[in-house]
Parts: sequence; C-alpha cells; structure tokens
Amino acid sequence: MLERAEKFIRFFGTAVACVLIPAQILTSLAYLTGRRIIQFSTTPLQELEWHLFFALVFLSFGAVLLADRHVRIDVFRDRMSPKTRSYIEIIGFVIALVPFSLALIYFGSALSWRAFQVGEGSRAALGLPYRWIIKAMMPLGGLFLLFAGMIITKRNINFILETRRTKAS
Amino acid sequence: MIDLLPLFMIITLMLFLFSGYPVGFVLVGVTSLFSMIAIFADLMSVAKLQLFALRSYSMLAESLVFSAVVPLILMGVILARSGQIESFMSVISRAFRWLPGSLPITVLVVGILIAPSAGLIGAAVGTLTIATLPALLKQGYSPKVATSAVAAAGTLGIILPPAVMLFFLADLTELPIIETFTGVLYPAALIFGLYAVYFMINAKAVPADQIVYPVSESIAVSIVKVTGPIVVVGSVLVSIASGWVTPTQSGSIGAFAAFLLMVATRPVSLNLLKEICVETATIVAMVFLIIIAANAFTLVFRVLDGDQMVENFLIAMNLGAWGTLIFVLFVVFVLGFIIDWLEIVVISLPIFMPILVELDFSAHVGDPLLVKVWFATLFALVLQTSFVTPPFGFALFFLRGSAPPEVTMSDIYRGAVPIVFLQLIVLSLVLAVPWLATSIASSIN
Repeated sequence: MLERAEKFIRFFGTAVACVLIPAQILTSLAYLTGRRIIQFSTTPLQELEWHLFFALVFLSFGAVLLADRHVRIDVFRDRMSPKTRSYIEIIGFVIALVPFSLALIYFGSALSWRAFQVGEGSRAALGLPYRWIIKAMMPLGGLFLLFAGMIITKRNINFILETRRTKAS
Repeated sequence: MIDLLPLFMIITLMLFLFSGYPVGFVLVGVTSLFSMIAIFADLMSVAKLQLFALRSYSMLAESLVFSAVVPLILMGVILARSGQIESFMSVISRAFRWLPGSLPITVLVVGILIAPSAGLIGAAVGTLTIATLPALLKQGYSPKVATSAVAAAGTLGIILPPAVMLFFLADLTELPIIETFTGVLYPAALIFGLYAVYFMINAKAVPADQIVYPVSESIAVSIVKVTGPIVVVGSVLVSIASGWVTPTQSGSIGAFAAFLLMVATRPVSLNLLKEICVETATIVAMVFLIIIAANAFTLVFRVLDGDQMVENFLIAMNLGAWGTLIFVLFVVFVLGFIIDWLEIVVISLPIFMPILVELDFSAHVGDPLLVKVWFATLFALVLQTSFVTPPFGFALFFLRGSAPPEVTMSDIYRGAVPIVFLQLIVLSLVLAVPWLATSIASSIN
C-alpha cells in the first residue's frame, strides 16, 4: 500500500513539475504579448499565472520530502549516528510534520469550502471564477505531504527495529 | 514568565534547527507547540489558528513578486544544466589568457551570470564550485586563490539583480523591486573592481602550454557561446528596468531565452527537460515551504507580543539610531554563519523592520523610501559577508562539499580572508556614504 503511494507521489510530483512550470512560462509570455502587442483582455491570463504558481508550490511539498531535498541545517547532523537521525525524523514527523499537514488539510479545506459556498470568484470583472479550486490545492498538498511523511517514518521505524534485531542476535 | 514566551520561542527554534530536521518543518513544529501553550494560557483564541491558511493563501496568491521566482530559478537551472557555463569559461579564458588573473575574473563574471538565479547560497556556490574550481586548479592557480575566486563569485552573484534574494528583501522591506535592484548596483560594482584588482595582483598570467581548453571552433561559435548567457540574463534586467513588464514576465522572458539558447547549442533530450523541470520545482518547493512556515511562526510570535518584546529590548539598550542599526546588522551577520539568507530574511526582517523604520536617518540618507533602499542594500551586503567569514561562513562549507579532495578547509579559510576584507571595506563605505545605494533610486523618483 505504502509502496504504491510512494510511487504515485513521485510520479505525481514529476508530472506537476513538467506540466505547471512550462504552463506558467507560456501563460506569462502569452499575457505579455497579449497586453503589449495585440491588446486583448488579459485578466484571466494574469490570474492563471499565479494559479499555476500556487498549485506548483503546494503540490510539490510531498515529492520534495520523498526526495529528501527540503533544506536542513546539517552542521551537527553530519556527526550524528544513523540511528539518532532516524529518531529525529520520527519525532519531527509527530510534532512538526503531522500538525503542519493537518493544518493545511483542515484549514485549507475550510477556506476552500467557504469559497465554494459563497461562489467566490475573482474581484476583477473578467477574472477567473471558482476560487475554491485553487484554494483546494492547500489541503491536497497537505494530504500528499502527510502520506510522504508516513512513508519516510515507516522506513525509519523499520531501520531502528532492524538495528535492534541485529544487536540482539 | 508568560511575558518571556516569545523569547523561549526563539530559543526553542534555534535549538531545534540544529537537530537537522528540515527547517520549514522545525518552524511549524515550534509554532504549533507554542500556539498550544498560548491557547492553554488563554493568550490566543483557537479561531486565530484559521489565520494560518488565510495568510498562506493571501501571501502567495495574487503576489506579483513571488511567482517571478519560478521562471528565474528555471532560467538558472537551464543555464547550469545545459553546459553554458563551461563553454563560456573556455572561450573567455582563451581570449584573455595573457591578462594576469584572467581566469578568476572570468569566474567572477560567471558568478554574476548564474548565481542570482540559483536561489539559495548553497546552490549558487555548489554549482559554481563544480563548474569552475577544477578549471582554476588545472590552470595552476593555488587552491587558496582558486577557492577565493569561487567564494567571491558566488557571494557577489547572490546579491546582484535579478537575484532571488532581492525579491524577498523587496517584499519584506515593502520596497518596489526596481528600487531594491538599483541599491546594490554601485556597491557591487565597487566590490567587483576591488576583486579584479586583487586577482590581477595575486595571480600570474597562465603560460600558453597550460591552457586547459582545446581550440577547435570558429570565432562565430565562440561569440555565440560568450554572448548567449549574457543576453539571457541581460534580457531579464532590461525588460524589468523598462517598466513594461511585471517581474514574472521578465523572468519568463529570461527562462524562454535560456531555453532557446539550450536548444540552439546542444542536443536536448526529453529526459533533460524533465530533470530541469523537476529540479526547478524542487527548489521552488523548498524555498516556499520555508516562506509559509516562517509566516506561521511570525504570526504566533506577534500574537505573543514578541515584536513588542524585541522593541522594548532595543529601546532599553538605548543604543540610538546608529547603535540599533549596527546591532541589528550584527545579529543578521551572526545568523549568516549558520543559516541561509532565506531563513534569516523571512524570520528576522519581520521582527526588525518595524523597529528600523522608526529610526531617524533622514539627515543622513534622505526620505523614507531612500532609507529603506539603504537598509535593503546593507542587509544584502552584510549577508554576503557573513556567508564567507571563517570559520563558520555558510558558503564555505558548500565550497568544501563540492570541491575536489585535495582542497583543504584551511585553503578555503585563507582564500576567504581577503574576500571578507574587501567586502567589509565596501560595507563601511555604504554605511558612511548612503549615496552609493540610494543615488539611482533617488534619480528614478
């Protein structure tokens, strides 16, 4: 189950990067040529630009955690034993990653749900409608992050159990 | 005791940061711990927690500045991954081989071109070390001079427009991006000049038989290789300075130009494109995780009256305007020993800026906008210096990590000393003569 989830999060992260980044660049360039040269209404493009950016940020958290690329201060970490590091990862998951993911999921959903109920759209006349979609990226990102964290924690628990077993035998 | 909660919050943060757990999550962990304490002590209502999602959303959505980070990082990743730096170096070093110190100076130029879009200092210095240090050593420069050149180039590039760092400084000091860009121009030019003189004095011309790169291409190809990266980075600066486009659009122009250059100069596989996108998304996610987390942290810190505490502390110290400014700059300098600019900027500036803007520097600098430009420039310069100050300088560890094994830490330290010295000269000049930072901004307005 977790192996499958891991594969999916990695694949999803790659897909998000390969679709949203080129899309944002092209949107920006289309907006630029639209506004400066052809002069058609570009409000939707301008909003699409930050929609894509916003989605990229939140949907990438989980995959980056799996790739272990989040910034760490490793002055002391370099000198720790692998076992100490595993313990820190597990404790960190419980007291930091879980609250963060849950906050994203819970408060993000509330935000998105409220936007859905009132039918929130852009404040600009020609802007994009359905703000709840982009707001829903927060809980979705939180969900991926939580799963990624669970996968890594399971790996660390296994590692600690294994070192214990080899010591006992 | 309750009054001291914000202080404990900072201390807990510092301690937990050293656990080596990702910075963003440590920030959130400490924040949730202290918001629980605050809720139990009736200092904060549960409803306040909702602000977390609301602020994360409103900060990133509809921001004209933050979405520019994606194309800028993409441009940097394309330039670094597509071999543009190596070919740039090979052509320049061949053309100027008669000039003493030409290769270190070339490395400085490379730093100016790629470091601004590399994102964090670790990425900038790491990329530069891998791309340039082997060539420097092969051409017979001593490890001291060679590492000196890389450290100088990486840190100079991290503060130059269109540096990602300047976008965040602009956001947190509430300055327009153009004014922030203009502030660092003269100081950076001064630093560049001092470095160039230093390398000319300290490095001999390279004998012809030690030229590393083979000559096998026409002049036309060489010209493309040299002008390509300059045009790419230049397109961002020119378009943003023209005032015609938003920062995101000018970044997109740069990213698109870098992409065209890559397609024109080398075979491009789908796999390479995929790697470039994934690398860009990774850097973007790691930067903005910290932004969102630091935002949550300052939110709770403020609810606990932490900003008030810092202000009272600084007032009680009674240092005067200059003393307070120097104190704040010193704190930023020390923080630069252990953490990257991003964490420093997003954690310390929201706490210090409200106090700094209250200080009266109008006689020394001019109107409030110019004072802010001056502050932003000073922050950039102080961070730059703190990254290369032995023995802790954050950039030095990344240099060591990416350098070949024969380069020792003491080589790197000895190489860094003259760099720090030259930077401090410029920093004190900017402190004494704010005109260096504010002249362009004042002529724009």
